[in-house]
Amino acid sequence: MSFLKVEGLTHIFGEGTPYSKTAIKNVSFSLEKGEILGIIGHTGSGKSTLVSHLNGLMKATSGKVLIDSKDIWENPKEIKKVRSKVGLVFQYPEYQLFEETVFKDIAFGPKNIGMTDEQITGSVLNAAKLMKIKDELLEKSPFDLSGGQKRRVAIAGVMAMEPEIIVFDEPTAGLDPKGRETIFKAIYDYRKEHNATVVIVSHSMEDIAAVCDKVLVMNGGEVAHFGTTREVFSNLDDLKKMGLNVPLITNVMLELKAKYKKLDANVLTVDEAVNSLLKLLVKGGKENA
Amino acid sequence: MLKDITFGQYFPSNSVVHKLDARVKLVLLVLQIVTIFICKNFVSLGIIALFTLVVLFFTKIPIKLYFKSIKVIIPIIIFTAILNVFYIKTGVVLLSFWKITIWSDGITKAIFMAARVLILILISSVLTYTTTPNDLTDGIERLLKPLKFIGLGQAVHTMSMMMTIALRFIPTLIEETDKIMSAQKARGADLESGGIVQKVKALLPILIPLLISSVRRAYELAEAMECRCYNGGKGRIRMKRLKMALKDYISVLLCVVVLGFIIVANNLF
Repeated sequence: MSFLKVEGLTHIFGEGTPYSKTAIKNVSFSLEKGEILGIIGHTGSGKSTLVSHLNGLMKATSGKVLIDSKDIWENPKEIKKVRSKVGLVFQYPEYQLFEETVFKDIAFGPKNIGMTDEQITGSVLNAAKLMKIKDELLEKSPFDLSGGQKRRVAIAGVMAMEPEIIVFDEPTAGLDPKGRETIFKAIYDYRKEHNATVVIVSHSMEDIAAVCDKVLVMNGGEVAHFGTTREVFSNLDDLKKMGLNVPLITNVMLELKAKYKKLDANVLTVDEAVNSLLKLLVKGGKENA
Repeated sequence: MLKDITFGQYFPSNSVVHKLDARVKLVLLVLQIVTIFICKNFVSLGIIALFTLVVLFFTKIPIKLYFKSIKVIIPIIIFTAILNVFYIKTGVVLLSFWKITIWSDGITKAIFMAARVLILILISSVLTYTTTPNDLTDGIERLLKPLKFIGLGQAVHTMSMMMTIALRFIPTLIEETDKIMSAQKARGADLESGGIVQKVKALLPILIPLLISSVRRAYELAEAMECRCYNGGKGRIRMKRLKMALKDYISVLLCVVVLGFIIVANNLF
């Protein structure tokens, strides 16, 4: 049985009024524990609406979200418990910081879900370590930090709640390459430590290709593709029609394949491309020799 | 849920009243208020009531909306009416029991006052329903322009610019509040339950980020305005110029005529 299961999720804004708009329509997918899912789709395709359903911030017009085979809306009073199970990191999360010190801000979530003081200290320090927040920063005001540091503190604030499923909406938007690397590394480490299921919404095909096991493509509120990263990124033409793309390196290899038929263009990262090219060169070399 | 809040009461439509110059509407509103207050008897009040109803009809705004604006003020009307009933002790005694006596003048005065306030509210809501907040601030700025002769020109411009910016940012701030609320809810914040002290405390995680982002926005906006060479009202011209048209002159004339009728009615009856 899948750990996270979404069944026929539909959300209509302003249902019954002339302004009603279907944001997402009949979305279904399922994930196992420890899997990383990437969600792509161009602006307005319903990605953010979809992730807001995963922890019950929004209630679907129809359809269900099941965690461990249990409907999250089974008991509406318990929705707070769901939120401690499913962490959600919004876009530009640095704008939600408010406490006097970084430590207190990271501790806000854990405190809300009723951890003991001892547990709070432990999980805050652990989350700070994962996000590479130095100890001396913990007693500073979050408003004295740099943009990248603030982002990391905000993400640590959700990780400290130790959710079993953690959802990131554009976690690296506006960060430099080093900042992105730190965040993706932390996401990896967090997953390993907690065997957590991870969902990442991103516009960067490269990032998705590098970290995700599965990819969900949203188009006009509906699921256009769902499958392993390799499967989804083999649909170049279809993705382009939706205003999306495949990773740059995959594109380069596909162009090369047009010339060198024997080349294996089914690659997602630069390393894979290098291997594939080497194979061709070595093989070609042998044939020429 | 926050999205339901609307600021101002502007109701879009293409009626004549909507198209009137904002300055004219402002001046006419003042004139109407004066007219309502110089009414001395029921005949003159009747004339202005009739005129108000005609104006309401011309705005093409559902009558339900006007009822909504009256609803808020009804407790005040009832309160003043009751005071009038008990405090005026002239005319004929209608009812007397225990220590309370009700005089006929008290009743008439109460009805007169209530009707006056009602008409006042109705005619004022015509202005807010038919004029966008931006037009309104524009109109105010233009009307206050003569103040430049006593050296307040810059102050008038600054005030109206501030009003315009404040109005412009209300939807933005509502959206921002929504986002921050969702983010804090996702971190397990409980905004609904608990007593009043707890509820106020629960608002802090929302208000502090909101305040900080407003200040940040203000700096960004100021910089953007300076980059486009904004230096106050000096030498600034407008893209949309308010222009008086025939309908504006006609409506001024109509209101003056009504004022004339009222004065006559005041003296005749």
